[in-house]
Amino acid sequence: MRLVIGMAVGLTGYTLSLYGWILLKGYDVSFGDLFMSPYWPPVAPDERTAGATS
Amino acid sequence: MKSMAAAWLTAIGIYTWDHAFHTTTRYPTGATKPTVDVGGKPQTVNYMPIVPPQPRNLVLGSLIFAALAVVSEVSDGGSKVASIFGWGVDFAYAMKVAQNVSSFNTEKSQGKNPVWPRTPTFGAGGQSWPPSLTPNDTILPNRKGTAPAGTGVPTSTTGSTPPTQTGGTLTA
Repeated sequence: MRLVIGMAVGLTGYTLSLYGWILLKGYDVSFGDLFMSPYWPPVAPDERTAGATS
Repeated sequence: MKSMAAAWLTAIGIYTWDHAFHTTTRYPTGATKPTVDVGGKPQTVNYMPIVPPQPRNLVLGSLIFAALAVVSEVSDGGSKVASIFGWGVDFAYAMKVAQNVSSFNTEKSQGKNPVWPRTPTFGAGGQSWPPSLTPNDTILPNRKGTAPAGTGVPTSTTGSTPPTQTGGTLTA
């Protein structure tokens, strides 16, 4: 169980650090995007299509 | 326990390396490189910046190791079996990355990498990192890119210049 707790602590630390960095930089990325967005970087599908090139 | 922890950290490390390596591109020689406006001066982009791994994928990837960690708590024999299985998962993923068939590299080679496209737009509302900036009157980002109505501030950040383009992403 210690390993599971360690995983939770480590991943939480990374997540909070990443979000804090995002806030400091002023990026328009919500906290939910870190877990819920199917796209990464999190942008709307229409925005992705608008600038898409291959 | 230590072996399981090492297997988990190895898996996270392989994922992070795969993510960073296959979402960063150096444009081939002779290719037309995009430019970005930094302080009123156009700068040629040689490297695309590295996008930090999404916590969602790190959590999902850790679930199997969390399950194995629980199994390893059951008995001493379970600990050994779970550890071997965990390292097997690491080995399988490492082989997949080595063969360039991980999802990052496959989609990138097809020009449809959902993580990082070939042509960055650098905060102009397109698919890029860094993303657009939040409006000045927004405390917490909501990815709407617009300010609340009636505040007398710009209603969109489209076209805004990202604050910095640091690191190895730009050259003069």
